[in-house]
Amino acid sequence: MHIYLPVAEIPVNLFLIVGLGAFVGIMSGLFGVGGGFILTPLLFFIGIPPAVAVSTQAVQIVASSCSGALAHWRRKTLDIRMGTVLLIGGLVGSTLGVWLFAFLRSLGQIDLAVQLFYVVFLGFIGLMMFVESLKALRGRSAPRKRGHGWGQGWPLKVKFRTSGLYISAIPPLLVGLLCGVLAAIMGVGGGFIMLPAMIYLLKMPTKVVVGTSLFQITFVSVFTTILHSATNHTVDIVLALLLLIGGVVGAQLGTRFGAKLRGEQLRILLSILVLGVSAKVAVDLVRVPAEAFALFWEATP
Amino acid sequence: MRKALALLLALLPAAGNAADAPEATFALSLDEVEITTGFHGAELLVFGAPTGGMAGNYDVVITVTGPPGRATLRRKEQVAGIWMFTGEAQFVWMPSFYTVATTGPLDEIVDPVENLRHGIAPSTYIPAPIGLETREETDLYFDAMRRLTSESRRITLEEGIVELSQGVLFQARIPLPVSLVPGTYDVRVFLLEDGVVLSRSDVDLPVRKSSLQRLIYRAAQDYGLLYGIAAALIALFAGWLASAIFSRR
Repeated sequence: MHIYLPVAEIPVNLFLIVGLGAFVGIMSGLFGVGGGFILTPLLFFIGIPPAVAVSTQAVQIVASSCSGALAHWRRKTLDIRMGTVLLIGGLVGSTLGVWLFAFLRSLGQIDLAVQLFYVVFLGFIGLMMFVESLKALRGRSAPRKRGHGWGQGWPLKVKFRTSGLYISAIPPLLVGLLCGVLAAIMGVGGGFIMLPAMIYLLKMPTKVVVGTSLFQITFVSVFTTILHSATNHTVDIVLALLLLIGGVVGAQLGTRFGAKLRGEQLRILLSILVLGVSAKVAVDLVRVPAEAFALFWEATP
Repeated sequence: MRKALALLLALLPAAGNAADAPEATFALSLDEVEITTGFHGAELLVFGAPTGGMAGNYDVVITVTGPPGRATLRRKEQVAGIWMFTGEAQFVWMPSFYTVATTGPLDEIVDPVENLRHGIAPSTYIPAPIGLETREETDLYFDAMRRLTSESRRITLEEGIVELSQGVLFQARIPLPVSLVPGTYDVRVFLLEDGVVLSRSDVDLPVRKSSLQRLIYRAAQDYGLLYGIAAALIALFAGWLASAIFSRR
């Protein structure tokens, strides 16, 4: 069954889109990532114009991360205070990122820049997480020492009770800022960058990391949705609705399933997924394309 | 359909007394094409006959032309092992859609001079690319544009899809792809004999979005900020709803 999208101006298969939303929703609930880094390339693949795909996936991510974050909040695995600090950094960062995006676009190689960002950041983070969680799974690494993260002796100390941390607010602000910048350029929520940063840099306990990251992603994505809609006019509400029907249900299922797995197991699965996407983008960059020309059409008013 | 054809035939003798240069009288199965939520392409039936209804050694060519636009073609090349866009060219004032339906091979039924004079062949609708330096590049881009527009069904040649029965009645089912741009389309029927165009007649075919499709599109264009806020609120509500439903179980 097909449905014509009013902004993308193409028809899509209803069940394919709902299914895609559900798949990304499950990933989102399971790993605490928004899922943009999988959804955006998948939307390109089924023929959604890139500009529409990048801005519409933000709406889907709002829905699935909000649904996931609420589930974590009920289970008291969400550090609101930490999430708020990360969010402030994230909003500043994504504003900077949008500006940087416009600058790169004026240089004319934005597609290439985005693809290189995907390969480098996904590859690096995926590999790091994979190696670490493999060690942890084999039980060879010593239990992580708590309380030796960044920001012990820094000013602006804040008590993050849910995380059991008493550290400066500056490191989480910086983490949020960096994720915001990358997120805006890559058209993703930034969860896959934030998760390892929270675990390895801030030394937050694994069980609160997912909920807190979803909380931050929800609000950063609300901001990105509005920004994209106001400047690029490329949010397709029909596409978004189809995606989020699948997405919100998927996120709930993912959260339930995730509660049954160990942190190391979750991280190794996420790292494999991240490495897979990175490898796919890398292969596309070096493989001879089927068609060396691309056609872009504008109607004359 | 049948009724319409019968009616048309009944009208024909009255219309065509001055029969030295017969014209084609024709009708379309659609008054307009509406892009609704369920739209995934359409089929346009064009049917008619030469005025006078006299059988002859006719050939028929039907063309459909969409509103013009501007196309940009970008080319990828390998630089340091990576495929990246290295060049681009503009094609200004190119129709968004053009199709030629014929009773036979275009080269055989239309004289080359007539073809040029009336601008029938699909390649005449691809303008010369702007922004290139060498002749080789121009040819390369032109060929690529011909290939891409034909693959995406934007500019096509449908030889032999016009059926001519008893040398009088012609009809063709012309596929309209899903990529139709809203605007006024021109349906043109050429009546030919021995490669020479006897007559040419036109009719407009409006393509427009349904009111719901237009409403959403205009809202996204004209009220981007409000539209974005609404989209975000819907998403937050959907997330909350799913979470509330699931937590109750």
